Amino acid sequence: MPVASAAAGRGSVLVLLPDPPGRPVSTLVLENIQSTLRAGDPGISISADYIALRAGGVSGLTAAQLSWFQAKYAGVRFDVIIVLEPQTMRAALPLRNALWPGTPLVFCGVGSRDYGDLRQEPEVTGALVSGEVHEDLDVIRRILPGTLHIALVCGASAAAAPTARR
Amino acid sequence: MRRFRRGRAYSAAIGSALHEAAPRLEVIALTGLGLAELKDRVAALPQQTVVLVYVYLYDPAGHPMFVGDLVSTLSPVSNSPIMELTDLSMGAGALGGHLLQPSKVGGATARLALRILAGEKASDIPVQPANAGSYIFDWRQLQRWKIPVSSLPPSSEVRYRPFSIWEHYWWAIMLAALGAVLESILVAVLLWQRRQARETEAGRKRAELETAAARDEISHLNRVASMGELAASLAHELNQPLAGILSNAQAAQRFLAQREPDLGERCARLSKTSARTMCAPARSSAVTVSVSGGATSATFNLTNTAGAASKVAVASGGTQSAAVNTAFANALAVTVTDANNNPVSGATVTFTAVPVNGASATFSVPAITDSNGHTSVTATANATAGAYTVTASVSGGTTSATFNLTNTAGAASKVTVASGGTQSTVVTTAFANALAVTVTDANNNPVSGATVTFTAVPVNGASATFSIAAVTDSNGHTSVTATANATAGAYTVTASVSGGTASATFNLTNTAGAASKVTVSSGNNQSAPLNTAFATNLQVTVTDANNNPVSGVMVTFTAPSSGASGLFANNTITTQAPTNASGVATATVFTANAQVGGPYNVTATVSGLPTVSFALTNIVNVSNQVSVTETGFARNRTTGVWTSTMTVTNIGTTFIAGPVQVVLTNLTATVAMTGNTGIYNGIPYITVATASIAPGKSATVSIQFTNPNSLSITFTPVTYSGAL
Repeated sequence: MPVASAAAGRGSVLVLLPDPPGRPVSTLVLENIQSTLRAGDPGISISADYIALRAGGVSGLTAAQLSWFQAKYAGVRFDVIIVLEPQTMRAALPLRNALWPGTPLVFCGVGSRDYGDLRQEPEVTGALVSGEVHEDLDVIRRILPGTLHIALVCGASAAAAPTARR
Repeated sequence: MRRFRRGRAYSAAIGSALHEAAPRLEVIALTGLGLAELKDRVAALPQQTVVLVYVYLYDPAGHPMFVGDLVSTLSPVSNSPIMELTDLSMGAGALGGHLLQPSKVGGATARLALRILAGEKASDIPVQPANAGSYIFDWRQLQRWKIPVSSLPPSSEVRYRPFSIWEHYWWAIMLAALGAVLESILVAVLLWQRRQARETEAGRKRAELETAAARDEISHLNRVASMGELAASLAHELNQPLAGILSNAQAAQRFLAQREPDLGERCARLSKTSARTMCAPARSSAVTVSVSGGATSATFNLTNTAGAASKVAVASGGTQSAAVNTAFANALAVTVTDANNNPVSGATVTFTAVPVNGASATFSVPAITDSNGHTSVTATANATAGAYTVTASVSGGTTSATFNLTNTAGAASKVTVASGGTQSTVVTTAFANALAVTVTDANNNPVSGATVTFTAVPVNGASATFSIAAVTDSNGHTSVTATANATAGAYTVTASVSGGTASATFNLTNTAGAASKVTVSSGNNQSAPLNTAFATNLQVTVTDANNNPVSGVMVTFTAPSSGASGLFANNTITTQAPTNASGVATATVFTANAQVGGPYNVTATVSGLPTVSFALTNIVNVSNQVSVTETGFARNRTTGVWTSTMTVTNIGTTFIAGPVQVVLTNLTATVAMTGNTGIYNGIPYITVATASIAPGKSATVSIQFTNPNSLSITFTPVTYSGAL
């Protein structure tokens, strides 16, 4: 008997979040997804899971991770899959196609540049966020017009690889 | 332009984008550096540099690193302003900018999901902007980097701007001003009332003096008139006989001088003389005229009638009293005489009351004297108590009679508040003003000697005690001293008299004493996931020595400054809240920080009193790092308990800190867990391991349920690291 099971009949939603757990941005987004869905239909079943992106390659998903998800969600269906941030989106697409083919996928926290790479995927929609470089530069030019240098602080995780390639 | 190093691909991509957007800017790549190295680098950046923090999920050692923590570490040492993508670093040291608000992102996405659940196809729903970005800046950072607020984009939100004294304490200032205005109005009203009372008292005394003077004048005139009448009467009584004697003697001399007196004429003259001589008493008498040696005599029947009514004297009822609106017991009786004290019949006597301060009387039908000169009327006191006079006089008379009457007050009927009607005092102390009342009869005349009973009507235990029993004085006044009992609160005290129709009501309030004790009301022993608000706000109750709630006491809540802790709504570890009318102070929402641990103490402090603490724990949801399985359920036919064994396996690569606890959400309806460790947010949970679970290791625990309907038992396990 599966311990985790989606409720039947009222709709079930799986929210896929980027590793590591407990990131403030993930927590806030998840809370608002849950509250909005519950407000729309209190009977909706909501499940949440994380995808460890540190180990992922270009697709963001290893064969071991795919096996684990297949075992964990064997026989469990979802009506909608929501994913946060572009790197999670890239890992979630092969996961959906393998476990839940045809299930609609809704993304969030994805900018227009990242969406450009995904627009050919079927049954995908979502809400685009701003946050492009030029907006930051506009602000800098306005409030600090004498700026000559930009010190760019980034992590070195594999999650950054697709963006770097683009 | 700085050249990018190998392994810095992501920053190179963003750097390229920056260079494309602003080719004059030099990009300094700080990619994949550890925290210590980053601190050194941002402290030594060239002038006119802006630090942009982008995706930074892990440090080079592979440990998770949240951007907010990164910014809060770099900001104090950085020599340049730091900007970030989201508003999550606001308050941690980031300058701000056009920031993404994750709270809005989730809502926009969920609404798209709801459309799909409602039947729309995802491919038919166009991708749309989330509208989740806003211009947000930290006022402290603007000050630090000398950036004028006027240079910010329109509709920018500036956070953490310090409040002015007015913004901080406007309610207290308004309250104080309102209190001062009300107090001024109260003082003005009291002064006006005191002036009115003084003027009224002076008028009353002046009227009493005038009345007394008038009464003395009337008495003096009465005495003078009586003396005059007496003197006239004496002179008359003496002169008349003497004149008669003299006249008769002269007549006799003339008779004797005649040789042959004419007896008939003499007799006639004698009869006239005798008649005149005998006329003084007003009575009938017979005059017999005879001659010496005569055979017959002549008899005259004469009657002297009383003269005009002249004097009125009190016969009875001269001094008496009666209750208001009742008849005097004795009639007001007078005797009317003429100037020679002969009773005059048929004289109409007029009774006239001389009211004093409204006290007066009415009389029965007009009084006409009888044959003895007597008459009387019945007097009835009017509704006003007090002493006054009634005069009885006749038309053309020289002397009137005076009655001294007094209307006495009726039975005590009404009790009204004289002073001390509304007041307050600290519990177990005496009220400053005595509870004073005025007792009057049904006609508002003050009643003396009435016993007034003061009775407290306790409300939730708040009451008072009183001094000795109260008896009214001549003005109908009496008072008692009230002492508040040990319970704070508002209540009433009634003052009444036996058989009365209206009682007086005092509104008293016992106020709490000084704050003496602080106790935790709610919010103790809670747990919350990292970066998540605790479900119950922290509350304490402040009471005085008698356990009465004390309002207006400022309570300071303080969380630990390092390690597992959290922030209040003001994004600091300290907040203050005043106690309300129930003595309860409630802190703003407290949000766990990003560090697992606990229980740690959040203190609540009131100046001068012992500090109390809340035990809180920051937990972390590790459901994605574990595999939770169970062996299937076995039912005990005797006890009816369904039992299984739950196994939690660490499938991650790092230790899961203990205790490890599983919350059983979505448990099948009508199924109840027994033997659970506790309840978390209304859901049962069980402790699987008290110590840490290493990667690849497992922990097991037995779980039991009651399942009266023998349903298939399902649940969704949510695993936490940290005590719930």
